[in-house]
Order: sequence, then C-alpha cells, then structure tokens
Amino acid sequence: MLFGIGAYVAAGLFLALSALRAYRLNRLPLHGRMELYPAPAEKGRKHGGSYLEEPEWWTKPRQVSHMAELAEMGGEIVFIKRLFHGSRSFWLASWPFHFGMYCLFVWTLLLILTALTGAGNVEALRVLTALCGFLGFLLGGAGSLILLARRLADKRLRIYTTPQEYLNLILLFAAFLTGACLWFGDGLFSDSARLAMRNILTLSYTPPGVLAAVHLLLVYGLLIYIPIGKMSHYVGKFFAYHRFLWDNAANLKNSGMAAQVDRALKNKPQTVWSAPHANPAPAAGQEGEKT
Amino acid sequence: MSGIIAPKDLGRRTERLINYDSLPPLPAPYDQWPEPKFAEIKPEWREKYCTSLDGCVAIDTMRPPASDEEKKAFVEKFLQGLGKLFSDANNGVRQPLELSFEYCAKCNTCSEACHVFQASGGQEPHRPIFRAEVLRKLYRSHFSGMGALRRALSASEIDATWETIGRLGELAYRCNLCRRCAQACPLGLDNSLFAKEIRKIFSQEMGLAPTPLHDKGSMLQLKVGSSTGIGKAAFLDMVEFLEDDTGERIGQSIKIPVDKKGADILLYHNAGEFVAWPENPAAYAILFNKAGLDWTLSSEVMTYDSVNYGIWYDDIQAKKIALKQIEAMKALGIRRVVVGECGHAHKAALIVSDRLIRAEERLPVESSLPLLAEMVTKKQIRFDPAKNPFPVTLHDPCNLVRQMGVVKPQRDILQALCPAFREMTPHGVDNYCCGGGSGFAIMNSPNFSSFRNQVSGRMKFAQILNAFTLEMTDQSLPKYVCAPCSNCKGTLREIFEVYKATEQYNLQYGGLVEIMVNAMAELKQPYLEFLQ
Ligand code: SF4
Ligand code: SF4
Repeated sequence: MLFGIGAYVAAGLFLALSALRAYRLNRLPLHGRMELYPAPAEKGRKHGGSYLEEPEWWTKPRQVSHMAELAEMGGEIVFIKRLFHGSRSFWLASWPFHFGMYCLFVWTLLLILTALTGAGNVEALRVLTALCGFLGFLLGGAGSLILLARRLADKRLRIYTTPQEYLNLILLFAAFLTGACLWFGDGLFSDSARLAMRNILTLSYTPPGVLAAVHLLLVYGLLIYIPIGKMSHYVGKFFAYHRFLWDNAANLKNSGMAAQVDRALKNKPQTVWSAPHANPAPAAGQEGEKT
Repeated sequence: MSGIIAPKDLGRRTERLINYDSLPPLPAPYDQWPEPKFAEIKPEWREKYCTSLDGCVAIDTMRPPASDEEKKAFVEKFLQGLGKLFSDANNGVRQPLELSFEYCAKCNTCSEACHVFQASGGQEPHRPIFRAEVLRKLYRSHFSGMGALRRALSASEIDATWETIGRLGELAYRCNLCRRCAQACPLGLDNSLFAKEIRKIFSQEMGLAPTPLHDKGSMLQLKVGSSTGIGKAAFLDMVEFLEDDTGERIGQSIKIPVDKKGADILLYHNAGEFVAWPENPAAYAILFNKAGLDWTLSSEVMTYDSVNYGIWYDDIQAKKIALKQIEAMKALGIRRVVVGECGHAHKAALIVSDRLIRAEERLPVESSLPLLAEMVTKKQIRFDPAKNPFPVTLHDPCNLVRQMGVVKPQRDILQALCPAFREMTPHGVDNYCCGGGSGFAIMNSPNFSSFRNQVSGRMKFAQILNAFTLEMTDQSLPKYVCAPCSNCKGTLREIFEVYKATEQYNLQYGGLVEIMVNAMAELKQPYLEFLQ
C-alpha cells in the first residue's frame, strides 16, 4: 500500500513542483528586449530576418507563423537540433538519453491505460508497450552511462562538472538499470510491469523483492528531485525560447506589450546601485526616469 | 601556466594566467607571415592595472589594491554587487539571467560557436561557460540559502580574492557580447549575459569601467551631447565642410539639411562617422536627396550622435542616454527616426530602449537599410553595377543582424550593385563578430588593441581572407569589405593596419552607402577613394 501511495505522492509532487517552477519563472519581471535571430515565428523570413526589415515597420501588420515556431520547438524537443548541429559527439549520448526518457513516459502511459482497461492483451498495444519500454530503458540507460563516462573521461568537461551533476547522472542511470533488470526479467513484454502498475494504482502493491523496492524508491525520489533542480530544464527551455530569445514583441501603442510595459514601469525598485554615477539616478529597472 | 585552467584557478597566484603564443594560423597568404608581436606589458603597468589575466588591460581604472584592507573592501564591494544582480535593481534582466544561471548542462556546444575561444587556441578562460561558472560558484558560496550541503554539491571552491575578482573583471572584457554562443545553445541560454553582468557590477557598484566607454564615452555624451566631444557649433561647421568637400568630389553641389522643421525623417548618425569616415554621412545625403526623401540632420544636443556606449557595460548609463535622446528627438517636430550605419546605435535605439518608456512617449525608429534597399529594388535611383566590378564581401554586424534580424536589405543592395559580390562563410545571422563588438573597437590603450586585433578579430580576418582566396595576392585589384557599422569599420581598419592588408594586398573596407553612391549612373568620378 505504501508504494501505491508513494506513486501518487511522487507523481503529484512532480506535477506540482514543475508547475511551481513555471509559475516562478513566469512571475519574474518583464525584461528588456534581447531577442536573437533566427526567430522562427517571423513568417516568410527563413533567412533569419525580422519585421524590422520593412520600411516603416510599425505601420505594417505583423506576419507571424505559430506553426513554424511549434515546428522549431518540436525539432528541438524531439531531436535536440542545436546539439546535433553544434556538438555531434555530445548529441550521440544526449539524444538517446532524452529519447529514452520520452519512450518511458509513453511506456508509463501505456501501462496505466492497459492496466486500467484490461487492454494488455490487445496485441498491438502489447507490442507498442514492449517497444517503448525496451527502447526507453536501453537508450536511457546507455545514454546516461555514456554521459557520465564522458564527463569523467574528458578533462575539459570534468572541470565544470559539479558533484551534483555527477549525482544526477548516477541516480538516473541507477533508475534505468534497476528498471531494466526488474521489468525485463520475464521477457520483453512488460507483463510484470503492467501487473505492478495495476497494483500500484489500486494501492495494493508490495514489492516482491529488494530490487523492486530500490527501483521504485529511485523513481519516486527522482520524480520529486527533478523539478527542484536544474534537471527541470524542460520548464526552463520553454521560457528561454519563448520569453527570451524569441520574444520580439514591440512596445507599440495599444499593443499587449504596451500594457505590460506600463505595468512594469509602475514598479519602483527598492535596491539601488552604489557607484557615484548611479545616484541619484534610479537603478536600471523598468521605471522611466525623465532627465 | 601549464595544464588546463579551471574556474577555481582564476585566483591562482601567478603573474599571468593566459599566453597567446600559439594562436591558430591565419589562411593564405598570412600562413607565410610571422604573427605581429603582441604589445608587451611594461613593468610599471603591474602597479597600475590588473595585468595578470593575459597581459592585456581593458579596465584601465582598476588599480590593484595596495593593502589587505583594500583587497578586502574590493572583494566585498564586488560581492555586494553580485547580490544585486538577482534583486529588483536588475529587473530588466532577471528572467534571462536566472534561466542562464540555473540551467546550463555544461555540454560546451557554445564553445564551438565562440570566435574568441576558437581564435585563442581554445584557452579555457575564454570558453563561454567559464565566466558563468565562476560567477555561479561565487554566488553559491556567498548567497546560497541552503548552506554547506548546497556548497558541497555545487563544488563552490572558488576563493573570492582580489586576484579572482580582478581577473574576472578583465575577463568580462574578453567577450564581444556577440551572442553567437546563445544562438547555438540547445537550452536557449546566453553566456554573454554573464560578461555583461560582471561589467555592470564593476561599473554600477564599484565605479570601475574602461575610460573610453565611461569617462570619455557615456559621461562625455551626457555632458556635451556626443561621445566625440563635438558640440553644436563644431557639428554645424563639420556639416558645412562636408557639403563643400562632397560637392567638389562629385562635381555637383550638395545640400545637407540641418534642423529642418517638420521634416519626415531625422537621419541619426554615429557622430564618429563625421570625424573618421565623413564620406559615409555624405553618401547618405547624396542618396536621400536623390531619392527625394524629406529628411534632416539635427544639431540639437543628444540628437546628432546616435551612440549609446552604456549598452555595453552599464544599464544606468544606457538608460540615461536613451531617455535623453528620446526626449530631445521629440522636441524636433520630425515624424520618424532613421538610424545610419551603426550596429550598436541601431540596437540601442530600436531594441534596448523599446521597453524603457511608455509607447505613447516615443517616436518610431527604424533602420536606414530597408529604405536604402528600396532605392535599388524600386529603382528610385539609377545605378550602374559595372562601376563596382571589383570583388566585394559583406560583414554582418552582430547587433544589426543576429540581434535585430535586419539581414536581407543589405544583400538585396549588394547583389544588385556588385557583380563580384560573394558571401563570407558563415554569414547572415550565423556571422562572426568583427572582434570589436561591445566597445572593443574604441578600446586601445594601454595595450588592449593587441587582443582585439589578433584574438577577437582573428576569426573575422580569416573569413575575409577566405572570401577573397583567389584574388587576395593580386595587388592591382581592390577587394572591398562592406561593413555597415561604425564600430566594425573601426575594427577592420585596425586589423588591416596591423597585418598591412591594405598596403600589401589592396584590401579595402567601407560602408554600404559609399558603394551605392559609387554605382550611381550619373556620377562621373568614382566615389570610393581607393578608385580615384
Ligand atoms: S551550450 Fe548552453 S547548455 Fe551547453 S554549455 Fe553552453 S550554455 Fe551550457
Ligand atoms: S557572446 Fe560572443 S564572444 Fe562572448 S562568449 Fe558568446 S560567442 Fe564568445
């Protein structure tokens, strides 16, 4: 029963803490414009251009392609495009690791679905579940191990790697390894995992041995730990792209941005800088000093 | 120093942390040339500046503390500023800063993208994440709410000593703030922010900034209206001289309107152009007149110099200048502001100042490049491309291109007017910085120019050489690098001088409007000086 409750608590905390992180990042004050091109939403400007290429740009309607932005983000999430182009050897470890995670996410959803509906006997679902589980544990395990080995072997990476970053990779690898040993001991088809999932969901699960207990504790622990540390970059990345690099909304009269700027200008900073020239001028926040 | 320099080594007691004695080779014909000598440190400089990073000095106002008390006070002041980065004093940057601070995966993809790191021969302190990691460790050591455990887990083993902080200040001025690294980062993080934020701590909290940027830059501009020191009367004299000189040069009289009431356009130049490259504002005047635009220059304080050095090192100065410029422009009675060929002025006027003030309180600002492109594509002026037969390549100023997305207009012009135009590799938004970005172009003494000319400008020089591989050694053939930005032109001028590139190989540089005027069908004489 405890392991069943633990699953609900861990999953709940994962969602709540991730949402809290997003909420905190979202609440940070409006920043100055710092966009970077190419910005994929700029319609018809595949060369990396922006609306500023138009004479009297403020008189023309903005041409925005949300589809192009979604496609770019999709490519980044599924394929880690920038890493592929910028650092192929790192990508060879990082992509399997991330793709393995995605597979395990789908695997978990399929297990829940089949455990609750009894559709575990539907052959297509059974095969799909098996495939996701197998790929997930294999790619995730191999990826995290290679990432760890790379960090240890490459002196130039090692000097930037903190104990916490090693710990993250070790915990992840341990979760993949124990999971693979546990769920595939009886073959590739995840049947024991489905049964365990049903028992966990109905709060009637008791780990059959130490391996199962260790694995589940690792998974629950990671679900709570991931959103509180830097592994929560699945949240940060959204803000980094959408609210930072691709945020090129101009402060034009009657625009949504104008309203945001007006609100931000009302916030007077309490903290001030100390250099002589910084005073009596207000600190560089959002308020408009008229000199 | 031997071995790999780790962030914790920044405070190491050694006379010099980095040497530039094995820079990567340049392409032909410079593969046969000995590298020019790096300016040496004079012994007395050690007493006056922090020379122990790489022997070059950027912050010429940073005197090494003489006593232990002074050292302690220096470090404390820095830490005080570090804390303010994450406070409401820094609201305008906090979201991007916190994202970049928190999420780096240490994948080093950004290092491949950084021209300074690559051109330094892969020197560790020039790796984009190096500064960031030092700052993270210092912050976690001194401000982490989770105490010893968090410190242990993040290996915050950096000692906050004078050596560490002094070198960190210098290191903040070894990054061009070009943001090519941010473009490459899979997580969308921006390491240039750390260089800029360190500069801000030094300037806004500690009162330390390079003289050309602060005392002779933003402070002078706030005082007299221009960082060139030119006042209203001198500006009017220069314009008058320019009218006469240009009239003689093109064989027809030319009128440069100043303070024209109710004009549609205020043409907003970097005042340095009038001093260093007067043919640029003159070419603008020729083109704007010919295209029939209703335009004017202004002689009012803060409206004849578009520069804003504050954006490189100090948000307070940047804001003061931007707001003064906006206020002064509103009084002119013009309809819109059009920025001339200066990348950082473009960014300051269109991007940085965009959210500093209510939308109702500002005039619309735009780049001049789209207007210039229309003169060609809409045939507002008659051009003859045969007048520009020589090889031409284009440098993309980072501020204008990667950071504003103004990419195509300049290409439309060059493709139409220069039959031998070719792109550099890479180009457009993927360009490399000229090496003079973020103030380096105007920082020379005591020996900073060596770093700029031979390290930060190295990648651009290599790109230029590669663009002209076939023609490079033909002395009789001019090769033109079009750089539509004052700072980039200043940087190219110095690089070409150090490597004797104009003298030996007829490598030329200049702006966009000059080459447009050179192609004007009605002009009898070439406009470009090297063709005269
Ligand atoms: S590319 Fe981004 S995530 Fe990778 S090391 Fe550089 S800043 Fe960090
Ligand atoms: S901003 Fe440019 S110079 Fe600075 S670290 Fe990034 S790539 Fe290098």
